[in-house]
Amino acid sequence: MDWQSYTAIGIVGITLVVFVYRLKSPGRSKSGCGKNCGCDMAKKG
Amino acid sequence: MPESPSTIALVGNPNSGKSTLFNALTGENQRVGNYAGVTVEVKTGETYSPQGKKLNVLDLPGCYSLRTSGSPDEKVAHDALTGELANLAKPDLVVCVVDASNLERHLQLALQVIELGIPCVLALNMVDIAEKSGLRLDPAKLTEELGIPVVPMQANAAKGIIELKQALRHPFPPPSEASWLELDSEDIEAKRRSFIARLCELAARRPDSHQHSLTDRLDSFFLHPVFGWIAFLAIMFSVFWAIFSFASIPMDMIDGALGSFGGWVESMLPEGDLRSLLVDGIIAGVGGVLVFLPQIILLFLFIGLLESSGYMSRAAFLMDGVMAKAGLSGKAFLPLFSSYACAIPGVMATRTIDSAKERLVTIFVAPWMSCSARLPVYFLIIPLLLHEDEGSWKQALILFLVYFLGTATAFIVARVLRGRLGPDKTVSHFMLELPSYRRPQWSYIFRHVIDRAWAFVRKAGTLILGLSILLWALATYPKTDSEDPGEVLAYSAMGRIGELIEPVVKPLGFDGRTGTAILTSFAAREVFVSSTAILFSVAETDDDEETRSLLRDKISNATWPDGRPLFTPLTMVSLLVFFIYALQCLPTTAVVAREAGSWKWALGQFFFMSGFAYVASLLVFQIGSLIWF
Amino acid sequence: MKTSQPVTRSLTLNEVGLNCDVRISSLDGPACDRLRDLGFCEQMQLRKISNGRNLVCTVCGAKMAISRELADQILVSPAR
Repeated sequence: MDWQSYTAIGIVGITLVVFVYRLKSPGRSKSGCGKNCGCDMAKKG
Repeated sequence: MPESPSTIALVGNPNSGKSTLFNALTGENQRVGNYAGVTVEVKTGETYSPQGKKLNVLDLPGCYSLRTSGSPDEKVAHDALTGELANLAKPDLVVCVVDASNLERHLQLALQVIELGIPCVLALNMVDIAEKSGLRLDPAKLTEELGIPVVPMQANAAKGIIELKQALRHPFPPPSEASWLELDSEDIEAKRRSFIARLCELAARRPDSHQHSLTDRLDSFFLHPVFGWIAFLAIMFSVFWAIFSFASIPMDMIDGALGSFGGWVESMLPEGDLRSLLVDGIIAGVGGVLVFLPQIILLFLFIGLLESSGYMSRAAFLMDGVMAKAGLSGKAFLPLFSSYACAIPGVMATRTIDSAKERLVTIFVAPWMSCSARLPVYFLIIPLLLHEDEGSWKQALILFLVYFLGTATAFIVARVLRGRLGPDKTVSHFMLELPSYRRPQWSYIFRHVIDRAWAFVRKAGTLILGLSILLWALATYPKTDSEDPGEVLAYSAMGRIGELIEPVVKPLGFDGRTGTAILTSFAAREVFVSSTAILFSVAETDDDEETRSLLRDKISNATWPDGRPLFTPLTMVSLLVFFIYALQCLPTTAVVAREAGSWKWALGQFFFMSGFAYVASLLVFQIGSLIWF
Repeated sequence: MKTSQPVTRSLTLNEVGLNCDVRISSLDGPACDRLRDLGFCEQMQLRKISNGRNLVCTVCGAKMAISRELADQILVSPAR
């Protein structure tokens, strides 16, 4: 395993942690909207 | 001692320009639509009085009256004004926004608001249109008779805003005495009516002759039972065609740029996992979705143009007959049309539907209006289906058929569901305002398009980036010493998942890789494109920098282990059918659960639609195989 | 809610011809309140522009589309 492999695995690991954190995070938008689509309902939050 | 800011509420009929005024006062941006029901929730913002005092501004839902037995919009407006809405302070002042060319109708609501005893100001909006139609307005007389300040204005040109703010300075004007309540009539509605009639005679005289305006001339065509439909279909088809053809040049540019970027990264790094992650994972995955940005922009541009011009209410009028056959009313048109962009605001817009049962049915079928997230999948598959470059009318036709299929099925299911739910206790009737055609408000359209485009890019840069990284990892690890790309993939986690899935999806014409890509697209539909980019390029050897071709070329060359082409026309049709019907959006399911009031309904929708998609795809592939092979 | 007024001649909105100016003499039916909110009040002048499943008419300068069932609840007489 060279430095590239370690870096790649590191990036994957960080991504996984971010995903798990976001899924478990209590601050989920109350409107139920993923806030990803840019619709105006999301603006009110 | 700092006082808490005063609260000002904006009320008015739909189409009175209330939202435009809200934007002008607070600088917040919202959607402006020319047909009833666009502003459903209570929006808040801030502005400052001429004395520099902060004022909270509430934009209440557009409604025709404050009747509590009326629609949800009216109830919300009424409760907000009487301070009965939780978490919302009772307003200290109300601005009644009225369309100056429609005073006889808009004053109804204004009088009801004044009767509540709250200080009021009348924003006499759209004076330009009133004057053009020959109306003679007398704001001073209106002030005198109503007992409240009246401010003529033209909110969409920001005229009269300063004068309105002057009227909002402290101390607020006292509440009016509502002189019409002293009139000699049997009930309060009759008192209001005769007061309004007299007031309009005095202060808003209408020309006697009926003027045949441009709007009327256009409507003789657009509302015609035959020509209107032809125009409607022609407009819809043209929009699809334009999206296909105009987008091809920017798409090629983006794709070329991504290809160059990938080539540069490859030249900077020696062969290795990081290079593979960057090029075959991130650039392929995210780039595969970003390349569709031009189409997204064009779609929302056209939707904005249609809404802003006033045409959409004519479309709702035409569609009422068709919707009735589905057991729905014309009021369901806006929510369903919004769902073509994204089902979430569409589902929320169903609040304007009076009938509870119709509302549930509309919510249930809304996801079958192919939303914009499906576009990357459609635009990937459709050109491949025809073996042609972009821009042809045939591709537009297929896209049109794809949308049509989803819509038609939605109507059929709506009909069946509506029948099963039974009739409503109170019958609701079709009534729709047809506002004058207006020049599109370009600043709003552009803001809206930029918002949606930015949201698309942000989603690509966050969710899809993350998923692409994880998918790459699944397709790369565990590793094997073999050089053969097929074996590398088979050994990886993704390959093993694909092996498990393949028996399930093979009857639909898909192999394990496609099945895996479909599975990942349940997280976000666009991810299908990213997944196929990763799944079908990791299998390639790394030494052809020259052929950084479109993903389409890669998958069109894909084969089954025995050499048969994988993506036959039938397989692609089967894939399209799957994506038309599958519900692959968890945020939508969450919003449905909230709006329908039950998770049972939302989960039922999810399982029904997933099952329907599977069966439809299965039937298409199996029957197609029998017929053609 | 009925408002009884003496009328010599009144037809429902469905029955009148196109492009004639008429005046609403009364509203009779369960959707009266809704109609009034939209501007279909007694004494309002209106003109029917098209027939069909849903009618289109102009009332006080605004163009409205309403269903035939609603139009049945609007009684009109010729304007002047």
